[in-house]
Amino acid sequence: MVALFWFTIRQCLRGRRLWLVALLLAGPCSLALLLRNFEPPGGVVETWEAYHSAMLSLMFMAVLPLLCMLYGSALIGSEVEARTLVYLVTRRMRRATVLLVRFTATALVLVALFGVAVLAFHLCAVVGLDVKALNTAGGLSSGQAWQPWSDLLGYFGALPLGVVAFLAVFTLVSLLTSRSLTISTMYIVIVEIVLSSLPVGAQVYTITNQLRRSLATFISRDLLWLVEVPVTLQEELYPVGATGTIPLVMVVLAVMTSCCVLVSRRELAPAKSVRE
Amino acid sequence: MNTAPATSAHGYRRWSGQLSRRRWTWLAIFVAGVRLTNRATKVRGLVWMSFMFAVGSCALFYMLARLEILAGSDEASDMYGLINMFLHVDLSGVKQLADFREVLWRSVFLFMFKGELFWVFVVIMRAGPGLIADDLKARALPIYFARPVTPLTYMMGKWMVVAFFIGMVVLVPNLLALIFGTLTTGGLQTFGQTLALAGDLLITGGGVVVFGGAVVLALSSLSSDKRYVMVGWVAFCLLPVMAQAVLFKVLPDETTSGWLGSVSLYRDITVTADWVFGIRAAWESTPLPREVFDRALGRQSTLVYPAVVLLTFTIGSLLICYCRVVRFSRSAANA
Amino acid sequence: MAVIELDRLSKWYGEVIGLNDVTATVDSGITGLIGPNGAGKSTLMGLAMGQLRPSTGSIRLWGKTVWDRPAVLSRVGYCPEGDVFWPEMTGQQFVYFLARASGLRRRAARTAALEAIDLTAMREYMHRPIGTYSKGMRQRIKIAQALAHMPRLLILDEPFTGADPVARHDLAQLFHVLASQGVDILISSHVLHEVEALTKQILMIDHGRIVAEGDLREVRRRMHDRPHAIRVKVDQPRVLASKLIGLPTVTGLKMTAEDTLIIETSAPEKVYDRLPEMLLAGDLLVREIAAADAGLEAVFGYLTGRGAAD
Repeated sequence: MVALFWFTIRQCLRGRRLWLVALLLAGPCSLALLLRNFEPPGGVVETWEAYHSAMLSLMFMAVLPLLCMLYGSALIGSEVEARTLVYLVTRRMRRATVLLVRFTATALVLVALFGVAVLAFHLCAVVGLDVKALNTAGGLSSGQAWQPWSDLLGYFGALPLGVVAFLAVFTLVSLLTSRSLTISTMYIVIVEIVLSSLPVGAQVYTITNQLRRSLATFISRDLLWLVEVPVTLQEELYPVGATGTIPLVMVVLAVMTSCCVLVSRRELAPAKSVRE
Repeated sequence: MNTAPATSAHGYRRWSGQLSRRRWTWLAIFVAGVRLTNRATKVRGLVWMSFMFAVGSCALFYMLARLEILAGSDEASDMYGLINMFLHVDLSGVKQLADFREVLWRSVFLFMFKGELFWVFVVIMRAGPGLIADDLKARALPIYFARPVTPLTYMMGKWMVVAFFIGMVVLVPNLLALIFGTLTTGGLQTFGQTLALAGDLLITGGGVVVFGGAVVLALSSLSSDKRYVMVGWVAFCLLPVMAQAVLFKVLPDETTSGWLGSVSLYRDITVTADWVFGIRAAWESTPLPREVFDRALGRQSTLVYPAVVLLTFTIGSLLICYCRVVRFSRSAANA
Repeated sequence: MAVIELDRLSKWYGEVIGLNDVTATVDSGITGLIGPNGAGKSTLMGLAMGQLRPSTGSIRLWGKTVWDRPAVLSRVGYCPEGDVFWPEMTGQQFVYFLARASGLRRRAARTAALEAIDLTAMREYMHRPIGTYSKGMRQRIKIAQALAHMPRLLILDEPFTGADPVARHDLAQLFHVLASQGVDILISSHVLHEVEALTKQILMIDHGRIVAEGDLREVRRRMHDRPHAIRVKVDQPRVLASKLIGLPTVTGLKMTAEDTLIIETSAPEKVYDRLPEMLLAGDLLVREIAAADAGLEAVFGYLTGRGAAD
């Protein structure tokens, strides 16, 4: 198990994939620099809005799902495709153990990579910014002062939740279909970007919504007015005091249980190669 | 017992017929590529489903034709609402709709074109990433370059494959809808009014074919694993759109009307298409009051930056792809 | 106890039959699994390794089912067919990792990996990424990973593919040595003469069914419908033929060359009994007496209908 764990970590940090990840993560940092360059007019509210809009829309709604899709689809799928899974499932480990070890290792790598990206984005957006002066000129709508470093901690808190939730969903997709990337992309666009932005009750079935709930608890409920949800719906979609942590953990447990059952029941061999 | 004669019994003859010219070898690559890609039922399904855009355009043309007859009547009020919802124009007070047929049709095509772009994104995602990446993975390149195939003809053949599928989404349905609309709305007179539209449709569709094909081909040449190519393509399309949304949200209009407004490639394409279709100029040249079409015009943008961005990406992608293929052909020759 | 037991084992891939109601046993020693392409060899191996789930029936290793019970696999080494690697890994990393995955502790795995690499003569190349290996080297490193955890049973799917003649000879020697040390081996191959050189114990498979099982000579002996052929190289084949023609067990005589006579018989032992006497009586000079169709290739041809021995 330990060998498989380290092997998976090394695989996750392999050259080509890491290049793609670096490019993906460079995008939000470039945006942060752009925003710094073209400073939003006004005071702390506008700067706060720019920071959180970019973090929520770009980092948590686009880059994070894409990263999880890349790694989740490769967790078992790429081994099946390359037929190397045969070496892992013909050892004395149970298939479910193989899956869980690989999932844990991949999730840890993703948390680390995405954590670095969030930190880099934060540094690009905040370092050199006179937050104190901005706060003196006027506070946030709730009357509180903006504390970017404390917000960063909030994002760090939500990060592992987002990683395991997205990774679990995309792992399940990769076990259910051989066209996992197409279906996962459709899922990201239709469910996590479009549906989670629509002011409808079905929004609660998205991971993004649950993450926002957690962030609203970890950081501030002020974040909710960035989502542009009508006030009438706000209580339904984001009830006060309700975090998305428990629902997300439940979802991860349910999805991973399904994954373990699937991986144990299915042969996971590329059919053509074993027909002889 | 095997009674078939041995292979050697068939004899061996050297080819003495004529060979096609070397520059036509791309055609074989194109035909084989299209056949192979088209074998995937999902790609076929996506292409067939893209004809819903033609159906949608025809439905709108039909509605506009009905409105030309029913203008001002009670029956027309629902249709006005639908047209307003899709095309963002309020035609309820407009008499003699036939006089504005061309600009309305242009608006219909632009509306459909924006939807088709999403479909192009999906079709490219299915048909494009494996074009060169699969050859790299299967180490098939020496097989190509052991024949009179040059890097350029190879690239051309591969590009034509993805171009075929993009064209099936963004060109064929529009042209079919135009023909249908012309035939069912006044015949030859309408043909005269809408002839220029066919050219505009070819230019916008062709532009998307060239741009999308070049980018996905370049991405496909960068990795032998089409998984990475696919994620690269998704990120290339999705992240700029999200970034643009943030920029538009937090920065004032005057800041984002310059080059900052061309971060999103989707927007760059629609701005260019808007210019090719001449929507703004066409509406503004009508004697209609501005409130009728104001919402249809959207955010005003200059064409320069989007055009430069699209051109740069197209040329850059083609260059990257060409350099990679030349490198592969040399290493294949060495092998 | 049999090493592998197949009991009414079937495997379907949708409408395609991989294995069809197979009952057989694989005993200790080396067993050759042979059959044409698509016969079901890799399916059988996949089932034996718990990669595939039987559609009906069962497959047991040392009396234990394999599917979803991977504990038994710690005693099995498997070498899959084809290029199946993580190409960026070096040979040593590959063997070491899989030894660890088989449950060996760090130090033991390192030693075991090096020993397996030595056994397959790969030490010189073990620090190179597998992606840069030749076909033969890839084959050898795959066998090394199968050996690293010192299994009791080796399941080798086409292990000779891609290996050069010297490497093939070395591998065959290695398999002999392993078998002599108590390792049971199930080996599949298309190269019949190589399997024949390794073992007389065969499991012949065609169209998903076992067509022959057991000792090759015994299999051939039991094929009553096929007359046995004895090749005799002699200076005067016509004289020998005239003497043989009177024997009731001789069903045919063929001269395939100036000095070669093929005797077709339903009872080869009787012909062998009488031959010395006839040769002496005719004062004939004999250069060779051999069974012309008792080899694996001939038996394979007879049983599968894919070409027969001359």
